[in-house]
Amino acid sequence: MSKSCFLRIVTFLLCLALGWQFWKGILALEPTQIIIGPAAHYIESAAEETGATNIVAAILFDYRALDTLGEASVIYTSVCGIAMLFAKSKFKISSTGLSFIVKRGVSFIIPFLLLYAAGIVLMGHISPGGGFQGGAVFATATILFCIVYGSGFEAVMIKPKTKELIESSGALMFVLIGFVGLWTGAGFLANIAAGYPKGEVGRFLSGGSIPLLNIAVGMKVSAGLSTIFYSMIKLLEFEVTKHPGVKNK
Amino acid sequence: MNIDITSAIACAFMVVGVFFAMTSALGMIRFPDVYTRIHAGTKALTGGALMTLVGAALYYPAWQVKAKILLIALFFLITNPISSHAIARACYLHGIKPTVSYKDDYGENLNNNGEETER
Repeated sequence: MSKSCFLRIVTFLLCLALGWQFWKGILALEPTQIIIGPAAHYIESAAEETGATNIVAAILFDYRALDTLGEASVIYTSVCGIAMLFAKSKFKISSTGLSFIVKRGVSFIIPFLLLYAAGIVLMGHISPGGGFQGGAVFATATILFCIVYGSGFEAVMIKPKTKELIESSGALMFVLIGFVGLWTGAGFLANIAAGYPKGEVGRFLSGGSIPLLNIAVGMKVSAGLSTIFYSMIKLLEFEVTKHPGVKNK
Repeated sequence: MNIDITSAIACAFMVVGVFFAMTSALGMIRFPDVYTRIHAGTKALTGGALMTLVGAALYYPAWQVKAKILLIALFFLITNPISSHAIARACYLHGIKPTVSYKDDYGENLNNNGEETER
């Protein structure tokens, strides 16, 4: 038996073992009929207690809002660290971006992308989505700017200082919304108990503080992710000045 | 045996789409270099996904669903050629040559002007 044949058989067996594990995982995902513990309570009364039909949003921003604040601060800290690490590289040379076709095509797509992101953020309490997801889509738009039109264009359109301002004000907004609950005596980040209007379940204006927290998190995540990307690509573009495939005259 | 004529047409569309996806996978394995493989990979979307989406749009009765599916198809139709164009151009500018080439207008243009004229 040759070596390559042996390797192929080993690879085949490995794939088979992995596939067996995946199959077992799929079998474990079979829907169970009985839901017990806090899950049953959440499914039964999340819509009544928080006014949000999206149970994930209700848990993220009402029942476990303090955890979400922790997650958001993790992103904030990492953005601060990365921006500090790459702060030394002065931005001088920007790439001119991709070709004419890509620039025109992306300019056609960008408005719809922004609308989609805004929809995900604002509808977070009544449909799947929320601040983290919508913020990531917003960041995608700015990253597309960076790649397609060159980072110089992106820095002119949205100044890095503005991004920092948006991110910090998002974090501040989250904490201030939480402090309203503390002020009314219902506890930090309390939702309906703190006096936020519950609204009609399933409508756009409902869910108390959940939409506001979604907007705050969306601002934070979008500005943070695009800051990370900008500070990294700045370093890369400083090294590469010309495409290696083009011969100099 | 009563089969709805619309769903039969939808299934035919989907089968054609699956055929395109299969061909594209075959091309990814069999074709020799980057550019022909990009050509094959694009067919998975413009041929396969679009046909499958049209089939799905025919299959579902509600017009909202149809509109949504056709919008997704339009999005694919716009983005897929752009992205594959960007990949192919980046490959060329990175210095990857095709295995067999008879005429290379883009390379001649690049070498004559030093850089691209259209920017």
